[in-house]
Amino acid sequence: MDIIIRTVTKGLFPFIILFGVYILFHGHLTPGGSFPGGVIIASGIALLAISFGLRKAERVIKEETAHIVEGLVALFLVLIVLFESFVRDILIPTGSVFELWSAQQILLLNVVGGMMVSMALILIVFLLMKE
Amino acid sequence: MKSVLFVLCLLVLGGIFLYVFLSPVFGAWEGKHVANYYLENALEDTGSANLVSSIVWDFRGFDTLGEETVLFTAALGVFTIVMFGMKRRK
Repeated sequence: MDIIIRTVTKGLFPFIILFGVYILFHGHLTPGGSFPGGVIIASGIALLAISFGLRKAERVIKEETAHIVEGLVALFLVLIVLFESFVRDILIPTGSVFELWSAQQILLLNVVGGMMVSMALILIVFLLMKE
Repeated sequence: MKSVLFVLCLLVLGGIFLYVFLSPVFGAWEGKHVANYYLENALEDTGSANLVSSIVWDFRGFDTLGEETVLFTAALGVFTIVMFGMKRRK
């Protein structure tokens, strides 16, 4: 790809991932949540794959790893929803508003769901680029 | 056997159609409104400052689980289609 896109991607990639993780972890405090955060992380990886090629992008996360992580995270999501009362009463308290470790199960579900969204979209991008 | 199944499907579909047709008009229902409850009590109930997040992951949690299932199935569908295409090309 273009040298401009390559340079911009090289500088911006860590910050895109950081921003996505920030949105995931602050889903219960600021606008955002699981889906926007996951899409931002996936779009960072997709930018890397477009500008540097699939080989370079697979050095960050391999396709097989994305497969395994997506399956495990989906299982984890279902388990959290099933044992919701345990998570919301014992693991994470309601806490006071605007604190990071608060909001019962919403924090955990945001992070896990966002990881699942990002893995699914990364998988779709990789598979369609391989085709 | 097939005609019995056909009649059964027709009956079920007709029942659903009648039920939807005879149920009250959307928005005309004078009853409890759940939106006001969210606005007034969601902050104390969940402790989440982002009300959208609290509705999505708390009050409507199973809906969101279904949405994630849709995404999972989409990834699985793309994987299946691409793998079949690769196998056929070889």
